[in-house]
Amino acid sequence: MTDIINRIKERDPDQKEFQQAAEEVLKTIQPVLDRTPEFRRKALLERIIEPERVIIFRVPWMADQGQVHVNRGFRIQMNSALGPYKGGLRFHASVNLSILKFLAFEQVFKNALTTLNMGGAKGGSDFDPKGKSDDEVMRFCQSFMTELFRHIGPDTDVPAGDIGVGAREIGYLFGMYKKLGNEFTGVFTGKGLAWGGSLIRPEATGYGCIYFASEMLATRNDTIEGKTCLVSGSGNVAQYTVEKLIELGGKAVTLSDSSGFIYDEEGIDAEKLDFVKRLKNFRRGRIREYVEKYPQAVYTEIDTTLDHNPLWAIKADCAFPSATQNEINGKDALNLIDGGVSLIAEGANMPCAPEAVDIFLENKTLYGPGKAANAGGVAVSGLEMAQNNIRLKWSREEVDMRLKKLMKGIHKTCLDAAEEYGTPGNYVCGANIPAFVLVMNAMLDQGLV
Amino acid sequence: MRIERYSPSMASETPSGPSSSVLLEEKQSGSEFYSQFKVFHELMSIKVRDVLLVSSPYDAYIVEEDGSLASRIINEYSGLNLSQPPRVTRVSSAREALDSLEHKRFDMVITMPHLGEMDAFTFGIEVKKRKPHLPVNLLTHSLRGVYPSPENTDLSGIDKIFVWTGNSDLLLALVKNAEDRINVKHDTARAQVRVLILVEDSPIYYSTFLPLIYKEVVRQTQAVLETGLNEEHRLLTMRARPKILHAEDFEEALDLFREFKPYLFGIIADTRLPKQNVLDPDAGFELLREIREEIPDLPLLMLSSESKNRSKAGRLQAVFLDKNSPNLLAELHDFFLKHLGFGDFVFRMPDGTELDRALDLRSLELKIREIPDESLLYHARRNHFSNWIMGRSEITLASCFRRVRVSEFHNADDLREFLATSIHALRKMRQKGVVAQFKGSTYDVDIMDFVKVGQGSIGGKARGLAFMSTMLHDHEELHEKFADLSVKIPKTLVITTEGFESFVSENGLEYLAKNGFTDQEVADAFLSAEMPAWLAGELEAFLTQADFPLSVRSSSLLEDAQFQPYAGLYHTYMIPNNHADPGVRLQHLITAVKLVYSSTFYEGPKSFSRNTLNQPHEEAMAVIVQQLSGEAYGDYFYPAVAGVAQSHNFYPFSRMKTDEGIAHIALGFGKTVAEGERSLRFSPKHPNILPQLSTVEDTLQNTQRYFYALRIRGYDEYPRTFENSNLVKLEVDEFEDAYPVLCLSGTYMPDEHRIRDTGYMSGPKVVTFAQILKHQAFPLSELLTELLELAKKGMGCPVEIEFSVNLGTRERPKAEFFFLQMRPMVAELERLDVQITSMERKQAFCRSAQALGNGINRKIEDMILVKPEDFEPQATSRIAEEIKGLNGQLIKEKRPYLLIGPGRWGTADPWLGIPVQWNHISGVSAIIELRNAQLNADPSQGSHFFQNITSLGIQYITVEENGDQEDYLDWTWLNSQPAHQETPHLKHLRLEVPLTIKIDGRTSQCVIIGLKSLLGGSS
Repeated sequence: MTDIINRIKERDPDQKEFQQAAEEVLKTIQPVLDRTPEFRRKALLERIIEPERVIIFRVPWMADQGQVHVNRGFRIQMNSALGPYKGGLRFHASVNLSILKFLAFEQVFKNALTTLNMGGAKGGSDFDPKGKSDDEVMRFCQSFMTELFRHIGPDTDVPAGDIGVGAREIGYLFGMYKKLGNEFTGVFTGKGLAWGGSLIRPEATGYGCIYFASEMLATRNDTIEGKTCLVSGSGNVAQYTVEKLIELGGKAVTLSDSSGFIYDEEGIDAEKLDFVKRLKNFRRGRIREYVEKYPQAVYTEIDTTLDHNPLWAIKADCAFPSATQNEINGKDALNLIDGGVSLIAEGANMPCAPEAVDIFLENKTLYGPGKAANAGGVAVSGLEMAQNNIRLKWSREEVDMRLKKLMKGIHKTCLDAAEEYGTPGNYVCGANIPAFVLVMNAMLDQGLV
Repeated sequence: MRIERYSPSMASETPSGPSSSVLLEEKQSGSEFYSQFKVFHELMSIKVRDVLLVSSPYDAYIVEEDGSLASRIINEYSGLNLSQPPRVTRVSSAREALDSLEHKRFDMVITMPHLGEMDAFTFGIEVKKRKPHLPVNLLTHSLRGVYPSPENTDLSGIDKIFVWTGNSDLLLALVKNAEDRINVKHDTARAQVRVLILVEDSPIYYSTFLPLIYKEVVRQTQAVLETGLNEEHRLLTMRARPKILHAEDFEEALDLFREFKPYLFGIIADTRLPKQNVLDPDAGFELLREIREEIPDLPLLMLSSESKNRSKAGRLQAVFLDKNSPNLLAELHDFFLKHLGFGDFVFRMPDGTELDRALDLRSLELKIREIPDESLLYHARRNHFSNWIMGRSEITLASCFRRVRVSEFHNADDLREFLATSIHALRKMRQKGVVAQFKGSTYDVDIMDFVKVGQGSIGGKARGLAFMSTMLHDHEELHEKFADLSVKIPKTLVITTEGFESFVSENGLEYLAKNGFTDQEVADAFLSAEMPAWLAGELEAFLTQADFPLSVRSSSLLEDAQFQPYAGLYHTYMIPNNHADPGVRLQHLITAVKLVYSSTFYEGPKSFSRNTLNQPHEEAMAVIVQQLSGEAYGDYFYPAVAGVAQSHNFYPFSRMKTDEGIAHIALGFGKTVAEGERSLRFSPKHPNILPQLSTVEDTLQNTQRYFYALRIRGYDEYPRTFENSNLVKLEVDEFEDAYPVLCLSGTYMPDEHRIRDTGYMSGPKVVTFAQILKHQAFPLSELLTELLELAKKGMGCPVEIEFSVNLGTRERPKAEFFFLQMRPMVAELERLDVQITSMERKQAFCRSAQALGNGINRKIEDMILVKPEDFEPQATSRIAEEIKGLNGQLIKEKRPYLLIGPGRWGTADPWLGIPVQWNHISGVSAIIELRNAQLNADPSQGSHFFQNITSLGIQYITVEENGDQEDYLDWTWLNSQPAHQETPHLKHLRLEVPLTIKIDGRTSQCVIIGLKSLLGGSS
């Protein structure tokens, strides 16, 4: 293991981000390597850290006033053991080879966990759309695609959006691909609804999180119904978490934003949720305005002098941190447990600090790590590809139903892996390992390619 | 021979009227008239006849004060010299000026600092190379960058520096002072002309005092004119009026004193003067003491800003005048009154009994109609009217009156009529030009864009408006280019300062000018006072035609004029003006005018004034009553777009360039922009580059959520007292179907997470202005580019304009662009070199590549910093309060300070920065705005508050802490400085050695060096 890490450092001494990511990932799969000597013999680690293909290319484009600019384009096709390469494109000034390799490496395992046939990739450019006109963005995207198009395809590599690549950019990229390839295929995910996009995209993460939580509860013969739930955040994830909770008979009592949180003891019902959606999506207001509309609720402003967040000290059964990184610390974790919370599922990325995770694991609290619990977004990308392949557009219900199935599958994979590796009920362990096992086995199966 | 009926142009004759039958005996020819007084012709023999004024068109316009400069010269100064006022040749660049000097003879050059390619000092040297003896005076709006003059500047090209205080008297004083200086020797020797010496070294003060003194002297001279019956005496007096000499230091003063000792009739001296090139706080006192010893009864006036010097003055039997006295003007006037005395036209009966007085042509005209026949004939026979008018240099009218013999009229009433109509005709002519006098009977709202009420000044803001109006008329190509829309200024009526003066004096409100009254007390007193009947009458007449919503705001003399935008300090009121009862409409208008008046005496303007050495009482205020641009939408009235555009962009982004300008626009009234709330920023040259709208997230976050509108139905009957305007804040979300919202918004598509550039789809509306900026539904950016260019040329410096756009309604779409205001920007990018060395960059504890201002500041020893460890965005309002406390202390101690903190200073949104008001930080000398992870808001450029800061020469430094740029702030060094005091969120540091802040205005680079960092404390 150390050899491998040293080898990365020697080979690519400048790629600090990639070195760090690889090191962290490899450490978590030590138990797998310990019991599978074949992996070592077939040099799977050496192979998995080396991208299958790296494409770096020139992207010349012309600004509105006629000056020519040259940016650098990348596509890291990391691993295709499980399916066509799949991963976002990022347009940002910070983009470089090291960062993209790191992201591509993580993508391989994120995709694998969905159990869908998707490999891992990442790409992008050091072009920053900020401060560029629509026309310039279009010209850049078109130029970018004139090279990229020969390396991607619905069965080869299916890019998606990421930072700096939104609906507008995907439209321009897709359009150019279509022209050059003379084919209308599902070569991108995140497309416009009218031209191959899937429904349930904004909802996917929140819904998925609740499906995952339901599965966790089911292991204890319990359901969401009647559960009092703490939800943080008030963006898409939080909103659709609450929406699904309501649908399944749970009772969400909190929401938050960067300035504070509201606590509505009576529960946030469908009507109140509509108000929040309008407040946040249309009016772009602060969550404290909820209290003006529903005075029985209480608004608490964030007090940074406290060593904990009082939101997590409210008595409840479940908690869905859906706001931001590290929003639950050790103290909050203890408060949650004291308050009767027996399930935590992460809607955001890494909302629980490491010490909080340790506390949940020690107390045998049901803890669904984000890697698994918020895989809904990636899953719907997979569903978009599926719809494109069969040239059908599923209804909301159909996509939702399939999302539910996928989340159920992810849950089972995690649960089985935890069991298999001797840590039953430990979803952290269960989320890390199976993705690797799936990829490695596939590589093993497919020989030295 | 027929009598000439007076007509202003002397070109048209009116055949009818009583005068047609009257014969004129034209025995006295001009030469005959003067020949009797030959001797006095020899006085003032050398005159400044031709002045070369080098300035931008705007500067020239300001100086001209919408055409009334001529009448001022004539009305008030002609007594100094019977010949024509100097001819002013204006050129707008240094090159042109130097060319003109080759071709024409000039007696004096007056240059303003904004000359385009050459700075004034260099220009002066160039002039002297060509004409070594030609006086060159620098007339500047602001002393920053010129006085004290920067190191390494060669001052030899400039004779004197004068500061333009918005008072057109200065120009004359400047000319007369030069003449006096030249003629004094001859005239004293020839006719024992008396001499007054002013000893004052500060350009601000002598620029204020000289015109005052000349004015007083003129009044005195004129007063003699009124009463003096003897022609010889009269002319003697006029020609032989006292000379005023100006000395800038002790030695010069003493030399003048010695030279003109026999002729002296008074000395005015500052206490603190340069003596042997060092500023000596007692030199003035010493000077006066020496003089007192030599002439025991000479009137002396001692000036000082230290009231403790009063007793010293007493010892010398000198009159003492506190420069900081709120009644400075009045006290100076008193001094003159006692020694010189001056007068109005005094109507008397033949036995000498005083009947009445007239102080100007207007009241003369009125009173001529009223006085008894005996008095009228008495004065007419003795040519009093002619003399008095001649005194005002209305030579044509005066000589016309002189030519008429009383006996030629059938009766006194004919004479009366003749005199009154002639004066009236003259007045009418004087008021022609840009700003027409309002008259209820002739007012036509459709034709007249700009009218004024009363005889006073129209104030700085209104001058800007008048200039704009002319500019728009003069540039027909603009209207041709944008044929589909009308570009104009809103219908405007200005109540001149006469209104304010008459309101304040009739109601005895002067006492409120002093400190110590709350805003509420001031407002109450003003509201319960009576509006002068004449003014109320004019307003009533105006309202019979003006039936649209109105805005009522101030146009102070100082506002905008001295590069000191009082912008935002005074209050603006908006009134719906749609009540069924005209009486109520009038009442609303009057209340609004009173409230604007009262804001002169509010705390904010007073404290601003303290900082700029302006005396609050000098604020005679004009009021602009203006058509609101906008349209009625349901219960509300608002313009589709309003905003501010500046020709200089301090924060160029992407490929924007500094001199391409920047605009901020918002839906609804411009208050959104002025208050620093969410608005859209773009460069008119690059309307497609919208950094705030780069991503869907950014767009959702940065676009406007609220807008301001005027409620026009079911509104409060009484304009609220302390709101900056009686506008209501509405949420865009609730007005999705309003026509402007549909025209200006995009629609957010949550399912696809994208924004479509149309408002006509279902979904949340996002005010992106895409339809205008990206898709040119209205040529806003093009028009702004043109207007900024025009305005910049007109003013000769970077400018800021306010505008609004009216799109009409769905049924009646229309495209109107209203030019609302224009003022110079304080981007004093004078080419005075500030060099930042690489050594200094190394030593600095703070570096920035985005600093505003220019120059070196070495007077700060105090720093207030917002402690980053205790900072939290929700505490910003409390932090503002804490700053207010420390600011108060530091002002008392007279210690300027450097303020350091995160986010947008002065924003109205407490989540974007610390929402300080001007009076929270009025003692600040430099500000650092940090952009870091704690508050990564866009810089605060564009709000009115920001304008105030930059206009006062406060250095404004943005430090980008999260970028990979050169910007840098050494917290280790800051934290190693001992705290003088601390509050919950602030730390006050006091250094032993002043900081050095250097900003190079051309590159926006800044370094701040502290002593310890100089010794190597930082890396």
